[in-house]
Amino acid sequence: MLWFRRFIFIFPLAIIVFFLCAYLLVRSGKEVNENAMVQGSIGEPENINPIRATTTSASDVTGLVFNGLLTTDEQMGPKPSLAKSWDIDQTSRMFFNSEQDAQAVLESLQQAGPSIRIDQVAREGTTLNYSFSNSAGPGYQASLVNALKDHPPRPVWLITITPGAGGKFPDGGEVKPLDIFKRIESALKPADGDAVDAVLVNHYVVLDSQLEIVGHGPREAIEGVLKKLLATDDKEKALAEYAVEDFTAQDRPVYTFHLRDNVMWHDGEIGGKKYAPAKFTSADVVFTYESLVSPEVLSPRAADYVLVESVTAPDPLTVKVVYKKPYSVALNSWMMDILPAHVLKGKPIDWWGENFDRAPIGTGPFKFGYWKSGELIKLVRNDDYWEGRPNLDAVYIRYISEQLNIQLALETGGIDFYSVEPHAVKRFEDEGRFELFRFLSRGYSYIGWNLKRDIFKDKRVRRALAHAVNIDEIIEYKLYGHAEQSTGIYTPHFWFANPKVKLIEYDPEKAKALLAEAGWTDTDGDGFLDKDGKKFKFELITNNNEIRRDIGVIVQANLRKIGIDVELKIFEWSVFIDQYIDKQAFDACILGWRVGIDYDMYQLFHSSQADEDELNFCSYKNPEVDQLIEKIRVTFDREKLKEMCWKLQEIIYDDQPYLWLFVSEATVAMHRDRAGRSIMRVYRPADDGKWVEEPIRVVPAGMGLYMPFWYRTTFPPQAAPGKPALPAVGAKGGVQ
Amino acid sequence: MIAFLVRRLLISAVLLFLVSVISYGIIATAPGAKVRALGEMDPKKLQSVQKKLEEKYHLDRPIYVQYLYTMRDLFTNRLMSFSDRPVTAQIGDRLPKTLLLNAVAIIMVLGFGIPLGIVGARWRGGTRDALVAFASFTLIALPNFFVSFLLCIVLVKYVQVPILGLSTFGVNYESWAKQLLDTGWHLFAPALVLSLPGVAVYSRYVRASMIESLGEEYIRTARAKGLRESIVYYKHALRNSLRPVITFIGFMLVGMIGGSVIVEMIFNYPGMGRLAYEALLMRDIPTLMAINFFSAALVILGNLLADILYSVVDPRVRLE
Repeated sequence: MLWFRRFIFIFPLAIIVFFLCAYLLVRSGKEVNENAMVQGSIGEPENINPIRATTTSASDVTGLVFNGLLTTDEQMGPKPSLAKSWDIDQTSRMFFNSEQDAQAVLESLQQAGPSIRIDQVAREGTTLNYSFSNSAGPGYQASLVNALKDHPPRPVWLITITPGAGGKFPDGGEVKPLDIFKRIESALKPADGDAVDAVLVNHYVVLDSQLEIVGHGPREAIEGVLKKLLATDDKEKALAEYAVEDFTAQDRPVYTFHLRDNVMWHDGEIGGKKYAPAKFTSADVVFTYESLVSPEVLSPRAADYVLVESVTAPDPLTVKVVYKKPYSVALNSWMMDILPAHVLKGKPIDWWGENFDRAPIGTGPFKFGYWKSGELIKLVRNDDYWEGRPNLDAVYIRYISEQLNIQLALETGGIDFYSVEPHAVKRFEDEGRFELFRFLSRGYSYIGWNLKRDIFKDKRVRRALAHAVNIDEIIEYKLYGHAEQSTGIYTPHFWFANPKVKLIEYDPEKAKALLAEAGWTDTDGDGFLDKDGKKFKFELITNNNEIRRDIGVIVQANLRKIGIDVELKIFEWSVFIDQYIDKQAFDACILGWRVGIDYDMYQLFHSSQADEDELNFCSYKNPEVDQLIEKIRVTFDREKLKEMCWKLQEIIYDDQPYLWLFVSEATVAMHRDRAGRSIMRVYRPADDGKWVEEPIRVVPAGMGLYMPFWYRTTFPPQAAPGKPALPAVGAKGGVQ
Repeated sequence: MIAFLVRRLLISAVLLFLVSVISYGIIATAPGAKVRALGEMDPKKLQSVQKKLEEKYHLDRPIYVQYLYTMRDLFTNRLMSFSDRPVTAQIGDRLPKTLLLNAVAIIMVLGFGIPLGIVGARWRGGTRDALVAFASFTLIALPNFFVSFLLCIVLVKYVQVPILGLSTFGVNYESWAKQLLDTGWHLFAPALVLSLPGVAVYSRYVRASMIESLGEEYIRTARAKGLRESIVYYKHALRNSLRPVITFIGFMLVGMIGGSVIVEMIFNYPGMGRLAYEALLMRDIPTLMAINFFSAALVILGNLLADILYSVVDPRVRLE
């Protein structure tokens, strides 16, 4: 039994010896000498299929593996990518009551033709088709109005019908989009010849769940049919909801993309099957569009494509996209990454999840390598990248679940760079081992006032509150100076952002004066403002985010100084959104928006979007703003758009439905090499065969740094085929 | 024995069923959107896509129907996470790693807990006992996550203990032995944190059990026979006092599976606990449900194992 005694005491010693050996021997392995970049990321993507993923951690990967037809330029405008160029034209259709009317308008347009730059006009029975490029002359609208004065066209409508859940027609038929359409069609052509004076031109089923009809004729006629058809005994509830939009003409913008012919899909292996490189063609674009709107794929990006009427490929290098109605922001949706049709076509959706979504094939600068779940994703260089061969051999993205660990990984060299938190910036700066890159992040924080509450209805009160909150203090103490005051609905990155918005400054005296003007004074001497016997008091809510919570505290103190009583409440995120924001059950809230590259503000500030569960949850309603938002959606001219967006930003900022707080600044800390400069440089081959260094470029589109042509300087330089070796800077390198 | 096993397995099945009902109830009724086409507040959210997704995952049905669908899919191995990955593939990826971590932690608990307990019992009331007791109680009293963060900073900064992944990044080893050492070294920090409270509690347990045995008649008999002290301790007392302590292994497994969620998060270990945490943030009901179910099964299995082990080491116990 004494062996047992020995064992009991030797065993822990053995454990200690094992770990000691590990400690001493662990680094004696052979380091893989790779010219690689190692990135850290706090969240792991759920999948890396660009049309199905929703997280930024996924777009970090898909941005390197895939390309869209377009990408963004420095000012976030569209820039060629897979499409080398594009044209925007418009074809329009007008419907008349008689052929004579149509002929008369045709003739008057033909006369004015050259001066108003209408390319083609043709008549087909009572229908007039005409097309023009978007550089149509300024006289276009006027001549059209003039021509139509004596020959009014029939109104065109676009009707959207959304069936309710589980409803049935009186004869037992299911209320499905296509069934609804058939019934409308037959209702318009009754057997007894007493036809309704309405004509259907086209219909579309959106994602199996919505029906859209384009037609013309008196609006009452079609609405009468719809009302009769969709009515139920239950007066409260129709079988389906519908919305009708009226137009004079059916304007259909046409985007023609001319694709590059030197783009190849990566080779790769998915689910045990090998795929050889294949040529990228217009069929891939058509397939990507079909997948985006497929009711099987259920892409979260589908909303961008519901206005598309058709996507066709007239030849392998041309893609033609026709829209149902003008929507100028639509161009941005073609920045969507394109999927390979030769891999995915005909595959069931269930196959995607475990295969393509985790091992994609794209056209981008890097090919997918492998994915160790919970650890890292490796991407390898695509030698045949159409923009030129990337300098790095590989990119690693390591998934690290804790902020502290990412920082430790950065300090110990486990990752090359990372966007550090505001409070840590100073420390990284002082250390000297890091070069810092600063850029504004694409989003802003704000306090939203619920404009349904009486106290916030007065604009003077809202402006007074803005004067009373010390934003500089928030920026200085909470963000350590790494932010700037927000100027409203657009952040300064964009070509359509107004740089001259007149900011409301911190001025408590002015705030008091404005409040007094609005009738808020301290009449009972209790230190709080009151009006009609009611104290100025409200609840400020936010989610349990440290920065927002502290902003709440600062705001509370700021407003207490001018006699306003603020009660701060903190909720868990989904409770906060579900129970308070979506239901509009709050006085004021602290939130932030991440802004996309679209200038369209319809969902956020249009008065039609102020119902429950909609995004204008502050119930901001301004007819001037509504009009401007609607006009922006159908304007294509960049200069005009800029003018309108500037105005929109100014008006909304002036109205202060939100108290715009700040746009924060991101700081990326990157290791320095032995030469004392950042470990990553950008080198591009120039025409004379030499390498030209470019500064590291910040791309707000990906909210980070543009990296396809990065080059790791601590690595023995390598030459691209037919190119001289890259300049050597540091000494021996490798990935630690 | 067989009758016992059958009965226990039946009870386990009922228990698992109850666990699954309760956990599904809690997960599915938690506030917040269940499946998200996009972030809750995305202007690009399309209601029809949201509706279709809810239909796809049966979230438009009453909760008991949802439960039945989930359980059917779980048992027929068709259950898909909300990001359309088979949950068995997800768990298959992570479960072995969590088991490995727990196995190393249990080895450390036994390896250090038993000798420390013996030291405490043998020199009961002495300085050595006091030292062990002080260390144990300190460890029990300190919150685990706090110790983890402290260790994390100290180990990583000053001892260069790796905390990312399971093997050194970018290094190839020629021999399996070095690979093993490397993996072991990566397991060191999380296993240490996971085992520390175990060592503390376990050593107290062994000590108490040992002291109890030392008061028994047969110890006096052994001493009266003139046996050496070491034989009295390690043959007579220890053997008997380890019996209750063995059952403790089963419970330890239970505690560790729960504790590994925190440890895996802090030490960035690619195990099932982190998967669960991430699924929780995503409100990924199928994944959460499957992980809960597997963990519950493991816990029940651990308990059963403890009972069986007990009958093996103690012939007086009959499993009937």
